[in-house]
Amino acid sequence: MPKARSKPAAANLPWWLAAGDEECPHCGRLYFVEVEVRCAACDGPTCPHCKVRHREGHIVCPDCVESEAHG
Amino acid sequence: MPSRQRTSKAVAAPEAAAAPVRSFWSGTITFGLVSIPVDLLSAVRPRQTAMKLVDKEGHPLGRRYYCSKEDKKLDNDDLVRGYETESGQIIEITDEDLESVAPEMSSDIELRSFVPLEQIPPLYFQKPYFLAPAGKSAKAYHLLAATMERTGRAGIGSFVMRGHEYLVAIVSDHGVLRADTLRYTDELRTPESLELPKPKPAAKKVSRFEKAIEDLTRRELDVTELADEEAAALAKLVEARRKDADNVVHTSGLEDEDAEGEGAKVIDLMAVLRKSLSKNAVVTNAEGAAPISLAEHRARKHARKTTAKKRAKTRTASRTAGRKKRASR
Amino acid sequence: MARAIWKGKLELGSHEIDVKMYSAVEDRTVHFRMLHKKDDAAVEQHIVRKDTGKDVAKEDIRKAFALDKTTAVILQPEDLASLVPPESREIQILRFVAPDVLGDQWFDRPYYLGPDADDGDYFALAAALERKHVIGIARWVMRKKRYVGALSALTGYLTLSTLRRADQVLSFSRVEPVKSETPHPNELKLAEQFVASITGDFEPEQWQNEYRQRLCKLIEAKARGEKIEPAPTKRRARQASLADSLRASIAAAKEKKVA
Repeated sequence: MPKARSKPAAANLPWWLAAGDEECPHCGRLYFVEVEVRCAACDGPTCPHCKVRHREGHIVCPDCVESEAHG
Repeated sequence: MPSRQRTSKAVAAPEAAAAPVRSFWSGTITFGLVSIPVDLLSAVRPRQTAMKLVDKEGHPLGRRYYCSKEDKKLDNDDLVRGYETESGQIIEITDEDLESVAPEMSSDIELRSFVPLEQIPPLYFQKPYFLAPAGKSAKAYHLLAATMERTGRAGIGSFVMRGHEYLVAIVSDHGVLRADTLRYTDELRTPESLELPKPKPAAKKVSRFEKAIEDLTRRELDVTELADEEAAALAKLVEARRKDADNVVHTSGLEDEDAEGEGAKVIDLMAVLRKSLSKNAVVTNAEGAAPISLAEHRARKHARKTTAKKRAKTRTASRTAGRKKRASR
Repeated sequence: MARAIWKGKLELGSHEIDVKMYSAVEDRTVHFRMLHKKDDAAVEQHIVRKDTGKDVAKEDIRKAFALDKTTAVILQPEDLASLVPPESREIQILRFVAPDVLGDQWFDRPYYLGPDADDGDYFALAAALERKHVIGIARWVMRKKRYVGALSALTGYLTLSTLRRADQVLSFSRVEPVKSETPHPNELKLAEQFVASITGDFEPEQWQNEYRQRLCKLIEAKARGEKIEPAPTKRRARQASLADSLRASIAAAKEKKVA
């Protein structure tokens, strides 16, 4: 069984990886609003880790990946 | 709702009273030549609707970075941010770079203008932050808050935080300074840029709509209309599923590794305010009380004075005129 | 230029107005990518088990609501499906209130509503709303999510701003300073005088995002291989007494106006 990962020292985290005061509705991760990405289809918030590229090329949230063309 | 009721409701909601918030910027408001050291704190809480990622057995999931070239797992120390130009050139941008761009803007908010608060259209407002006094004396802080209330104006300034410049309107929220970040003009689209058709009102129709608006106009807000229905539905579902032990997982690792770390200091808002402001500071969320803006607070204060005067008059009148129904507010 | 993100029907009394919703935000943020420090290579992310570090297949991912730091309730896809509200195009107006009833901290994302085919009713409503000087509390369902917002009129057009929820907004009962830190009447008077000297109308075009401009210059310089000298830090003057600082501030503001 692989060993559990050791916790990275909190002090080493730059703010763009650190837990901020925004909560991602898709994965619950905490982040700072400066790294937030908005969905081109529904304008909803996404943490930078949840954003996905729609088949038509624009950036959307996980809920809108399967959606029809933005608009 | 009279203020007495509001206060007692706030006390009855202990979890709102704890109000841990994060402080992640400290600086100075300059008000003329007066300096007011402050800590910036969130003024809003996330919605109770976010869920964590787990696998089918309930093991918490997270994200690990891989280098696309080397197919190797990366540690946080291996990461850096960069900008990709149109031609595909990658330019590394470190936090030192971001800081070097405008170091003089990172620690001060200079209030360069005071404007009537009602002149700022709602479109401009982004995110609110409370400012807690951080210096030895809070006198200048209170002076600014009081002056804003007396003049009905917001102080406008800007500052840099985490590689972004923020325009702010600073107001007094019941005696506590609040900084509402504003969008810059070039960050807002216009009807022209959206290519909307030009307005052409027909006078007859306008009066019909005015009547419809009047019929639906109310003096106060109903806070239940602003309740989080999604959070409520989710909470209900969670309660139901919780009864089946198969659905419940007990595990560490649900929280972000850095949740209590350097990212942002978690501060008990009430404790901070009590220490630096007044023992009478009570924090509540709007569910404990009708949401109230400063203008409304003043209007109600004025109304209370007027009502008290009216009541005195009515009492005298009814004594002499016999039975008289008291005018309802 | 911008495409509508949604189409809805504004309902007011017996009136129904077709509208298109557009985001009012123009994203000017300088966006960065995550890179591997060693070779500036793009970085991918995998979803893994936090304890073992092993990859997890997409179909094995579930959502769980955390009750506290160590307890969560797993929700199955059919559970999440049951939470989706019924689809609707209606934008329901619940009431109108005076604009100052809602403090500015409630406003979240702004949208412009544009007319659909028939714009007569649309512009009439916008004109009426501007004249009555009230805002409408509105409710709608868009892309499977519930929204609540404020309907307003601006320069002849309708705007709709989403609002934060009641339990998100922190507010206070009255906070009074302790006696030793209560400002003196003469300090209050001086402060008001100073505010009057720099009072003006809200003119947002006067404010530029200077940091962003400088950041872009830095990026361009780095792209060319140049180094940019960091801007000097301003030294703050030592603080005199509150009253003296205010008097000096008023004098300085007067000078600026004359100049």
